[in-house]
Amino acid sequence: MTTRNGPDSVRVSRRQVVAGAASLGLSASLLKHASGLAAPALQDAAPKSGGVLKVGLQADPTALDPQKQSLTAIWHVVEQIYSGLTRVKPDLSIEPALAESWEIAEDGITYTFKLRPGVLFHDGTPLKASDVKFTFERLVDPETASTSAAELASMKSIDAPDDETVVMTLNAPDASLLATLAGGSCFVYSQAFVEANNNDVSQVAMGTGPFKFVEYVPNTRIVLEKNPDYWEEGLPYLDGLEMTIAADDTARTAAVVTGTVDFIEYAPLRDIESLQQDSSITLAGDSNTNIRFAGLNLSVEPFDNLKVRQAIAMVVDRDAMLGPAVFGHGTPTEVLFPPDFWAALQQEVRPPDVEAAKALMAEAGHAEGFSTTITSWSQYSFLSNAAVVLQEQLRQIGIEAELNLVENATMIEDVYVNKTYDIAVTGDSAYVDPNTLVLANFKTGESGNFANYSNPDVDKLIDQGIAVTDQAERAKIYQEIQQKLLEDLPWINLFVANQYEAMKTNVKGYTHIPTGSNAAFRETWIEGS
Amino acid sequence: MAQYILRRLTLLLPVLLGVSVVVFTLVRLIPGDATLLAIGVDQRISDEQRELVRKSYGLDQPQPVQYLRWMQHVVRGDLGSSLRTRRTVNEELRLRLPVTIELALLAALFGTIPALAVGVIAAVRRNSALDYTATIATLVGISVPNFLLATLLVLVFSIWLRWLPPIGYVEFERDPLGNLKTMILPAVSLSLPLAAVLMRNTRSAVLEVLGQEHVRVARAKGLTERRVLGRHVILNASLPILTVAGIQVASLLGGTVIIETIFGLPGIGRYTYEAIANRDYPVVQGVTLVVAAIFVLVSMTVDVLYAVLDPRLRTA
Repeated sequence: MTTRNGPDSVRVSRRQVVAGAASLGLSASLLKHASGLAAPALQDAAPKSGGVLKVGLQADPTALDPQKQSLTAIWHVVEQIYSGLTRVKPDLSIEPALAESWEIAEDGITYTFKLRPGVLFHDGTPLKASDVKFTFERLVDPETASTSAAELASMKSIDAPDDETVVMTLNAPDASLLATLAGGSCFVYSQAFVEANNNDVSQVAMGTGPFKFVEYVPNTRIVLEKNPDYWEEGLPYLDGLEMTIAADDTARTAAVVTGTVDFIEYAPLRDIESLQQDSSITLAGDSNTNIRFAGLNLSVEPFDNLKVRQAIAMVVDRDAMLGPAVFGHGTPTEVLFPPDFWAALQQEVRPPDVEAAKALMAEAGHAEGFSTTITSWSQYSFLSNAAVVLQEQLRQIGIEAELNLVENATMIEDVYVNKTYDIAVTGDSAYVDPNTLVLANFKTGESGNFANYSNPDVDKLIDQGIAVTDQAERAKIYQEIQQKLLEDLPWINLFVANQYEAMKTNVKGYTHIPTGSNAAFRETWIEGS
Repeated sequence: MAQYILRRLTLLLPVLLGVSVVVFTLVRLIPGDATLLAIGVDQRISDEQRELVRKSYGLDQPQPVQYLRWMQHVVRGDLGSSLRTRRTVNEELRLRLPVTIELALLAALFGTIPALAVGVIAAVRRNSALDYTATIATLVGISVPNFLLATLLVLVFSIWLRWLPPIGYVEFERDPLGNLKTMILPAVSLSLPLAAVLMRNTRSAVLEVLGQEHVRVARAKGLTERRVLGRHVILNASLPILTVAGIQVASLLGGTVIIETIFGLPGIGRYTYEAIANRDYPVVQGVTLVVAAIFVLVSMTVDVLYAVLDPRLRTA
């Protein structure tokens, strides 16, 4: 969850590529576009225990060790098996999980976590502070070669003075730490179990979560059973989860419509209308923490010229993009964060103004326009279709953009690693804390700052954003950052895409979480089971 | 005959060696590597950490070294391990090859039997309504891509009629009936182009033989039409049909990529596709080698069948 992006399918992916071929999404309250949607499955009658929920996953996890690969698909399976010190609530606030409470020292550098007493691993052994220490040290150990090691880069040391106490010392204050600890790469392992498996937990899993690992048949199914000793009294209600891989959109919709499965994640956006009309289906969703944008490479001409960037921003018609990209299931936005997110800057989307854009182009010395390229993900239609529309819209001010739709590895290499692109239509998603998004993308010299953006004021604000812990104070800082980004325009933000889960109407108690997490399975139950 | 088979088998070795070099090189020519995809776009990772991940995949070694290391394992029958899943390619093939082979065999069954029957009848009753219908059907069969057919089949048989599940593969040994239920739609989708091509070829091959003098002689001898067809026409027409069938059946393997993805079947088609997309080099290499071997063996079997059917070829 302190996760950026990720398709998959893969499939894509907690971060793997734009959050998954999948994560699309945003907030209901603002979304007139998604009117008439059923609210998340309502908790009507009293929950009943029993029954196995059959789930259609959008991608095969390939492996089960979230420290080794940054894939959404891994996270969506192991979040049922493991718990973290903290976890994310549906409103994106952080609540205690394995850590019952914590204290942050005055200096903001020392975090002391009290572990919940009596928590058992699935093998019956008690959770100890040394397991937490082991897990986090494994994450940052060069031997592990973790793809997520940077998430705990702010950790200087970790100690377990007794079995119930974990003391983390940071290099500098980091207000986003508690959100980071809720993420997939910080799920707590059993030291004994990992060591017994020669440090390889890619095909097996054993944690403290609501469901126990039973079987993983690659590309076919994942079977989990109820953990009767789960630390939340009375949960989970389900006897187990049986997850099937349904990568193809048509097949995934068909699977839930026909009852082959009870629940699908990433309900295909093109099928939302028909799923809404199906009386045997309930939809949950729509909000999702993601942003789809056109990133501009500020170190190549003419995008180093602010006037050109302003002209492009003015000519973009976001409403025209929503249909082709996400079948209307999204919210146009000029700012980084969705309007109902606590750190969001409230800013109306201004309508396009082609004449003013032309004037700016002339002032910039490009009255005749210029040729350039737009690079985007061929695998994710919600981005490539937006790129096609953008290409069309740029023609109005004489910009002839060649469309360069490439597959995942090439996209990552060209845009994110080598930064050899002009305009990139891409996305970022599944963040919980605003720092995740702004630090990696906009701080000077960060390797993830692929727009090559640099503004000393913003750098200072980013530092301040994690140096204070008060949320209202932080919100002001992030709003100021968004204001600066709106002036400097390293990214032209386009829209936030919705994300839905579809389930049979007898599936109750499920709550949509805007990060795309299915953690609510622990509270889900089947009526009539 | 035994000598002939042996000679063909020895040719397998240089073919596989060539394939190994080509696939090893080609897969590394595609931009990007497995490290990038495992990391995704979470770019806060430092260059050092990125190198650590690359090293853990063994991709820090020079390519000739990587090739030789791989070959060392291959000659011992070990195709290596996936970079992503850490599972061995041998184990994956053991699980997945049966799925794809079952799919291909079912598709071959669904494709060849009706195609042969209809092809022969269409030729015999040339210019009849049945002949025209069959010709139009084959035209459609050749033109409709199998992913479209697959989607239509799901729509009709899964969503409307609710007869067959759209996804949810189960292993044959776990539930034979359930297994067949999940295999029918994919096999039919896969068989259509095969059936269409084969029907056309059967029809023209039979037509050609029907026009030959020995058929007229057979009829003049007073043989029944059934005997004429059975002994003199179909047997003689079988060689060109077999050639086409051999090529088509072998190329079924290619069609499995899309079909397996749509129906969520854990076969090698989808496995290979995902491995390429994720730059999982050992998997791409290992599977390609095995598929190449299968391809060569299938075409060899076809050649041997020629010799069985046509004694003149046995000495060749």
